[in-house]
Amino acid sequence: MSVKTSIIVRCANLSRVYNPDTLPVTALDTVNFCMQAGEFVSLAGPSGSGKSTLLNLIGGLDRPTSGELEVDGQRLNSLNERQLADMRLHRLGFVFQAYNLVPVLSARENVEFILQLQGVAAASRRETAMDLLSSVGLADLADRRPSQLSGGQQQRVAVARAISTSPALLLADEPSANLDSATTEELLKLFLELNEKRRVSILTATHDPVVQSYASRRLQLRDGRIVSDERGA
Amino acid sequence: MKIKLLSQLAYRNLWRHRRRNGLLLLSIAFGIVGIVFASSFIRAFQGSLQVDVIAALNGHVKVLAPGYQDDPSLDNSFELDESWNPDVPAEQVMGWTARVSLPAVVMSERETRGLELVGVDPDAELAISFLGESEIVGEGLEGPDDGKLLIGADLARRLQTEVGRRVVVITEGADGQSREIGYRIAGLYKSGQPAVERVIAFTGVNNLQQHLDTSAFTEVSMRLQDDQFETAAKDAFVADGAFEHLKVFDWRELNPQIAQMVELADFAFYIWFVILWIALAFGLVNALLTSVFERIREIGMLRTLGMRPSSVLVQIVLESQIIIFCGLILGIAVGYALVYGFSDGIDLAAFSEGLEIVGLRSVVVPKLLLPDIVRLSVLSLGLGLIASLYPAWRALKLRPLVALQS
Repeated sequence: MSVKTSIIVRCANLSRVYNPDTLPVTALDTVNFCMQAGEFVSLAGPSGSGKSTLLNLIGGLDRPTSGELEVDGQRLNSLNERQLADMRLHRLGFVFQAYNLVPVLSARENVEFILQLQGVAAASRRETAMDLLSSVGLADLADRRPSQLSGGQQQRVAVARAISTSPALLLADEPSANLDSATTEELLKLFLELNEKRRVSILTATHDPVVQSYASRRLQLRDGRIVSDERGA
Repeated sequence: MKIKLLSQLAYRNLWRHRRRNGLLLLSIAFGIVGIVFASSFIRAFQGSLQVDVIAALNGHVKVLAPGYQDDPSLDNSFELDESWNPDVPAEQVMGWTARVSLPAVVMSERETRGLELVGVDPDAELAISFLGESEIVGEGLEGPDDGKLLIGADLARRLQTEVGRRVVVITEGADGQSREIGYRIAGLYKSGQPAVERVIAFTGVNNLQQHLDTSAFTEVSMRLQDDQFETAAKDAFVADGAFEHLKVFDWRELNPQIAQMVELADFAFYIWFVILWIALAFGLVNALLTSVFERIREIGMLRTLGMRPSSVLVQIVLESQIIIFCGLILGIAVGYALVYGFSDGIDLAAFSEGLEIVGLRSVVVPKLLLPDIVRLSVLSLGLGLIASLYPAWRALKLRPLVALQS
């Protein structure tokens, strides 16, 4: 049952323990955290601090060992694989460190991909895809395959794809890790524009202080716990 | 809509590994060519067996007196009114005839042989039996009153006789006494079936009846335009008052061994098919599994973006179906060309003695049947689908997060 709320993410006593029966490793330890709709939040911390684990749980790619997790009013703990897939398809957008575009599809077809999975009509999704590619400055390269694009261009296509369905929440895992500083700046300006103009909620896991500086809220994780929560640009 | 997307992805994924998938497609096509050609060969044998046995004086349907098969003599013959006509639609009938067929002994100046002496109406016989397709050396019979003899070329060779020479035939008359009948050999027939040429000799039916002091016949035989009319024709004969106390047979009942061989040919198609497809399935599963393992991360990404597990399964299955479909088209086209190339027949004279034992001709004309092509296509796509389920299941079981991190 979906309940409309201004809270886009709610974690209550969220824990994730790997190998609980053999060699337990606590990746997340009773995390409590709420994210408001329209926020741009960065998750920072050293490797192994739990930021990717938290992102994966919120993205419905992993299941918590204990605790409650709600995304856009949907309680994820009770969803099966198919329901989680539908939730990812209709409510979430993903931007990956390695871009992860479909190599056999053109830039435009990659942006159309999720719309096509949703069953949007061809004319409508083509128009949406071209609008989005224009907004990320890649309209001229719409027919190129990912292998014919630079890393920065691929990441911008990935962002266009992620927001093509107007998701409730955009999840970005180390989005700048493979980009140079100039391209990182361009990407972050794009994130900021999406956040401010389109009111897209963004949650990004990053090591990069530049990415953190663009976020309106910065969470610091250490040993699976949130150790600081700062607001303000 | 979604199936269009999945088909597009499947098609393009196949082009990512052109050499590997091209080799797989060629191996499928090669296997299909083998099945097409083997089935055309099997059908040729099957058709030849059936046509030859029907043409060998059996017809599709035959009427005999009870006891004739155990004691083929005039004691087991029957009268047939001159005005009798079969109650079978004329357009279904290729022809029919009444014969007198008796075991006999033939003597030339040098040899003595056993044979089957058959009194026929030559015009009717030409339309329904192998005689119509046989080459005649010398002359044929002129009518039912013709008192000359037409024998097989192989028998003439064994009797060391020839056209125009005289032979003596001994058989049993209506009174149970032996009759010695002197015949001049009008001609020799060459049917391409030495086993037939060796034992069947023809003469005019009226003339033979006069020699035997009878007006009776030993059999009525009908050949139909198509096998599909056989059951109805047989039923019509059974219901015919003229044959009230007689027995009606179809060609299968008269030649159960040949009928079994014809059925075996159907089975042989499936044996060929299964053997070749087992080999092809290993290649297909291997290629698809490799393709899945190479794309684990990509499959994880698709699942992360919201593609349902069932869609991943459908995509892998579609990849196999596309490649099998292309292999089928190529294989059938090449197989058809091969069969067309041998449309004059394949000469198996080197094996003629072996072929003769099972009643086959030495020249085989491959025959491609549309139902076989349809069956081959449906079964190939079906088996390909089954073979692709394991790789598809492996892809289906991938957890998005694990696949993404691979």
